[in-house]
Amino acid sequence: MKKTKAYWLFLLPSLLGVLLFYTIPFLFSLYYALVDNMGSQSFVGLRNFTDTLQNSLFQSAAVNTAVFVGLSVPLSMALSLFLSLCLQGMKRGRVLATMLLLLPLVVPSGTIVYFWKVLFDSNGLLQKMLLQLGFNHEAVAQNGWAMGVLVAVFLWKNVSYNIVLFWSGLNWIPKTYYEQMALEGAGKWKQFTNVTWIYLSPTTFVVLLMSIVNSFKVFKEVYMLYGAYPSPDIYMLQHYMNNQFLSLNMQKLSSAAYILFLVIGIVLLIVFYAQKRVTDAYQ
Amino acid sequence: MQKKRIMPNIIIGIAAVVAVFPIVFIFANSFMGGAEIVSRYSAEVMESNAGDFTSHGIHFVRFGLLPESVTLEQYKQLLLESPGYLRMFWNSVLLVLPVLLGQCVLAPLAAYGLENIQWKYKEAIFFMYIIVMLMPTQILLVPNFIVAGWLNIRESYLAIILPALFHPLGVFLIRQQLKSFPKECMEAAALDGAGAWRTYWYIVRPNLSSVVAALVVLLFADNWNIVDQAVVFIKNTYDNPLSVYLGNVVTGDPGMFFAVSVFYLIPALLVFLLGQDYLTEGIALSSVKS
Repeated sequence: MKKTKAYWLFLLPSLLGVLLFYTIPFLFSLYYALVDNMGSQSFVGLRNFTDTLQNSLFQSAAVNTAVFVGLSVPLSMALSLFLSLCLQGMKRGRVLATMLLLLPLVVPSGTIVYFWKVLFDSNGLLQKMLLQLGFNHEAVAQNGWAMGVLVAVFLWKNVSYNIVLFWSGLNWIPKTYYEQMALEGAGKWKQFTNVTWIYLSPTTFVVLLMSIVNSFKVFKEVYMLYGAYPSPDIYMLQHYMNNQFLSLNMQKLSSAAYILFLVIGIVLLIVFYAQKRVTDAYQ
Repeated sequence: MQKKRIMPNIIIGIAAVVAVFPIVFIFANSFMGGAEIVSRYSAEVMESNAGDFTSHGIHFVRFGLLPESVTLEQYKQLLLESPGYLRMFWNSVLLVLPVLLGQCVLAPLAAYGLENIQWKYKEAIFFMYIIVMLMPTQILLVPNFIVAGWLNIRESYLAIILPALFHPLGVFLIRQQLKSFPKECMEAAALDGAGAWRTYWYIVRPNLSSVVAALVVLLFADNWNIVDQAVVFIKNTYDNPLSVYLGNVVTGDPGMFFAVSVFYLIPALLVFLLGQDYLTEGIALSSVKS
């Protein structure tokens, strides 16, 4: 009994830190979300939550965030699965290729921002090429593709994370399964659907989980490209939250944080349990 | 058959070029003079770029990798005449180093402790770590902000450094690694009379160096690119880390952007080159969920 007590001392510094800096104040912020203001602090029930949900800025931010996640997660997963399969098909140069693909992951978002502007700004290379191809100025100048730019920029930086995940999942699949299929005369596509896709599915859920989590990191890119006040079609929940920090509105801030926490928590739990079921089914 | 073998190489080749090209662009353009950068990329039509493609009075970029005249002027200006940039580079160092050092000490200890504690609900503690780890920065900033108020450190870097020091990523990664560590080794050490501390120091710790290296690369990549926390906590422009201020350089001092960027990129590239193998390992480890 005494022996295991010593181990608590190892954990304690970290545990106290997590409790003090994350868990306790987060629980405490629920209190802020339930009172009317920092002065009188009288309870108002769920009014802050309904106010937040009805706030038009919050609504459009939530929609934009959902659109971004809905676009970037499947695209990133499809692209990384495809590229990791290509990596597997390579005979030589795999180490160098992986290294080059991983490079964007460590590149600070800000250092590359001018490149994206040169490419995508209203006087950028893309618009220039469209104009030279004969599209008219008004159609090109319409600023409807800011979201597309964000998705592209985000994919460039983060896709390799998923490639590594898929890659390590692919290496878990025994080569003999493929040999068996090849002996039975199955083509590449059949091998993919009958072996790769099935045995990769636990990994796929992990990639889905991490993609959802990582997709919120896009704020760095949006902020570096467009600053604190971007155009309304790419105004994200992260901007909404940041503006509440600046105005020190603890009620709006805490209630928004809890709403976001619940939504993300539920989505992650669903993915997590789906993954567990699939993993159990194949073991 | 021959064709099938070549396709993956071509596709990966294209992907690798896409991945690397923006970085090459930044490096190549850093040898341009400030005036050339402005005349190439500005939306404004001016004397020096009047020959370029324009439409409706807007000058469109003249994209290029090779400077018309190669110069080190921008670097000279950055290193000798721009204390502001150097100071913000130093701010980044001040924000990253304590986090790296602290995590490298605290996380292995905590993971080792957690792995060996015999308590019914210890997985609940680990679950809490995982939840915190998975939440987006904007949610975590709320508790960080509240504590910073309690401790009265909202105006200081500590408001950013302290929470980052305790971010659960490190404990999570190292515990994943420890799960595959042979229990017999630890038990053998205990039989020889080694206490928890001696077992940690002589048996466990030496075997953690590669996962700690992986952690360092992941933490460096994240914290050298710090934006969200700085936007909330840092009020004075010159107290910002360079990762945030680079956004202002594009509009405020475009001629200097590429040199400043390369200057800020170099530490990240060095860490990447040194720890590249570990980075792959760290990402793969982070995926072992259940």
